[in-house]
Amino acid sequence: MAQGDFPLLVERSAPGRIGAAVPQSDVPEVPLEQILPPAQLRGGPPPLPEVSEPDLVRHYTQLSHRNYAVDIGFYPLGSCTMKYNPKINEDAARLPGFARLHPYAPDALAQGALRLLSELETMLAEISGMDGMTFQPAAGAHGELTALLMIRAYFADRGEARTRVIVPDSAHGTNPASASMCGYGVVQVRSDARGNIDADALRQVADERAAALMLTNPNTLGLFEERITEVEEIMHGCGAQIYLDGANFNAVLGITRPGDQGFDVMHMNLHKTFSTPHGGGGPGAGPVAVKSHLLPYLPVPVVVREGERFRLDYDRPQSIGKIRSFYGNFGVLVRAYTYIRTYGPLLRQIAEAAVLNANYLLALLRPAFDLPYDRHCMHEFVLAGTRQKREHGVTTRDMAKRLLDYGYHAPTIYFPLIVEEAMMIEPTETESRETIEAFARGLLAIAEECRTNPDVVRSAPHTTVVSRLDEVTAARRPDLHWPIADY
Amino acid sequence: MAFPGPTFHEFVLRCPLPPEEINRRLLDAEILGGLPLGRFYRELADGWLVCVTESRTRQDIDRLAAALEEMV
Repeated sequence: MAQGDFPLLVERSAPGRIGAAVPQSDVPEVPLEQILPPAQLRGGPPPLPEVSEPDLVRHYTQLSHRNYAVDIGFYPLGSCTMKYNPKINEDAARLPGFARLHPYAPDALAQGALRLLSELETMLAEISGMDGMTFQPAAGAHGELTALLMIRAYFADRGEARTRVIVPDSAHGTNPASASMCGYGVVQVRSDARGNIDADALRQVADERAAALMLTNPNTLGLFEERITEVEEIMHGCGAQIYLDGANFNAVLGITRPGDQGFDVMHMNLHKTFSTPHGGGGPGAGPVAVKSHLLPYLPVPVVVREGERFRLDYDRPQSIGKIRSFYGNFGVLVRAYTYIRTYGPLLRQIAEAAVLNANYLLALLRPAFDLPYDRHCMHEFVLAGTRQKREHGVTTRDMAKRLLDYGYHAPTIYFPLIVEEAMMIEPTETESRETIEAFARGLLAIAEECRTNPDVVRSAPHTTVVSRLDEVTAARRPDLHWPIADY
Repeated sequence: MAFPGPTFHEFVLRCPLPPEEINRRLLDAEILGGLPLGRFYRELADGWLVCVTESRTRQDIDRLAAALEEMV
């Protein structure tokens, strides 16, 4: 990791320095004043940094060295499935026929891309047990909103005025947010002592007012919903739809299918389960898959196969319309397609290894930490730092910060909300036994430091470029600009 | 021209032929035509958004103009 300061682009700037020269156009030039009114003309050039190409590349490369990534080390960020992304995915996405294709190219010239979309839909439908899907949503939460808009349109067509969406108290925060954004009231249902959604409590609120239940399975505690069949009967018994938040699909890939569990609609996070890069909020892909009764409501366009030809169909009167430009993050879809084709029938082993790795890591760590829901986990597990807080005054946040000194990305902390001092750890299937054991040694050493030298944990991190930030101000009032007056 | 205002990097033409038909014929000349706007704006069913970008030469642009002239 790069230490110390390096100059900003504005500080590297020198008047007249350029990165690339634009060739003279062979179209005759006319003065801008002749073709644009004065109000639309600048008084002078914008005050941008003037740097050479190596200056620019070095600046951004140095910045990138301050970052942490799955290509640098272990990244056990629970619920995010930070698996290693094979580089062959990048080769496929860079094929010029995909990378250079204009999104508005005529269907006749985009047959390869349309075929890829169609085949990816077929493969993901088979994997999920659903009947069709849209690739437009750019993230999981975007998929949630898309699905709820389809559910709303479905009930509107049936003349049913359903007003509520039910979520368990272990749900991702995006679930109630998406429901609220879609105009639904949110009803929260508690979890039972084993970490499942409390089916008895669910029965109390499942009535004709419920449009949908939004459920994550395995849930955010990393536990499979043991009463899923009963939950399905309760919700379909009152005529509601069941939505799967597919964030944790990696745990059951090739083993069980949401469509077979009774889910009507789900999103998949291709950037989690199907090994496409996680961006800083994008580009992601959160395709939404549906059962046949919701197919008419999919966003336009959908890819239609006619024999050996493919076309985009915009003529779908019951569609909720467009929810993103073009067809989603197409380059991401190429990566997911490549990943699935690479593994083929071995996809199931991904889930098996992910679950095995998580249970092995849990077994290594459980002597030192509290485990509120003591069950075999799926692909991730949630420990509690309550013992360390009670006995040594060291919080989960402190331990997460200390992990950075040991060279690891911290796990997800303080989520799910129902676990005090939560530490949510997801090793994924791509990590070796040695990596998992080394991480466990690190976290166990930190637990020991809580006892012997708690101040070193409370004041961590000590080795990073910056130490503890004012996270609220950084999130709410980020200072992202360089004042022109200083330039 | 569909609109009287000054244009920047692209402009809208109203066409005597359906824009989709123009694009079909241009493809025969190995030219990817403009964007038919009818799908986005019902009132612009004859609207055709043209953008040649900085990467085209004068020769390319002249060839497009000649093909259109021949068509209409």
